[in-house]
Amino acid sequence: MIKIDPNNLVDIIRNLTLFGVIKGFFVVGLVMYLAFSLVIVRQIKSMTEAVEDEFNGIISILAWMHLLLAIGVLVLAIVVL
Amino acid sequence: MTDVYSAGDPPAAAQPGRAGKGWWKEVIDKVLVDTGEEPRKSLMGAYCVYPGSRFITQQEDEEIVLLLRAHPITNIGWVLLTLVMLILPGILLSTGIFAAVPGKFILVGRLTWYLVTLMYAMERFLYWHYSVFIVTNERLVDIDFENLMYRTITYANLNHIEEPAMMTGGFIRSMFQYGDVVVTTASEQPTIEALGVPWPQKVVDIISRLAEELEKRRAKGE
Repeated sequence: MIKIDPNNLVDIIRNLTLFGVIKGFFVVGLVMYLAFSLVIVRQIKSMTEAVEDEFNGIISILAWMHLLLAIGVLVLAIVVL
Repeated sequence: MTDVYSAGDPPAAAQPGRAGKGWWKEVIDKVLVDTGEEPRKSLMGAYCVYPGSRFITQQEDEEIVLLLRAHPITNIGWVLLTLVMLILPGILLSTGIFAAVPGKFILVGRLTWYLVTLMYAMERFLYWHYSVFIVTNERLVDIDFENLMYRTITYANLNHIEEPAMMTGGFIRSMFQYGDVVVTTASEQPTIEALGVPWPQKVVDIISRLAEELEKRRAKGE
């Protein structure tokens, strides 16, 4: 069982900075965004099945590119911030 | 701009090999000739006559006569908003209100903002592109995406429809010639609607003629 040392907790809180908190928000927000991007890829599959269209392939590629971009920005936020 | 699939092609009825394949093809050809239409794709795919594409739950002896989307001008709101969202970071940064923020936060913040903008534009485009109203030789099909998670598909058999009606009016609608088509049905779903579609009077005409032709065929016992 993990024991939380109250002194460590106090140290963590003392060392918190405004930009540290903002980084946390960025990362959590981008993780949620990534999950949403995955849902979009899934939903676009459902949409393209509903109506056959010449643009279906391009739209699917766009959805995957969007997912890759979301992964890229999340990695950038973790590494750079 | 108007895109025409097969400019100069003869009307579908005159194309060899079409007649005789099925009585429904003859019905479609007759209705298209009577209404002065020919296979075409206009207004960025918002008005497609005999597009030759398929949709979910389409049956073997069923063909799409009209595939309609809302008129492209109805997208002007979100397109303008997207443009504003694209230029907003540049404007805000030029005012200097983020001068105290480290460059790496500006970079990630900007990228995140553009990602959200892309998501918004994609979502709006997808609603428009995949929310379609389809007229086939047998029924009307209304596919609506309320949001990315929720889809409704409404069907109305052409045998079960009452007289279709159209509604238009106002400066923009009159200028760009689009409006709503409302078809009352005798089934559980009281109405089926195509909102903001181009040339609603033509749509109503084609639906009426198709229903009439089907009724004639049924009366003849075909």
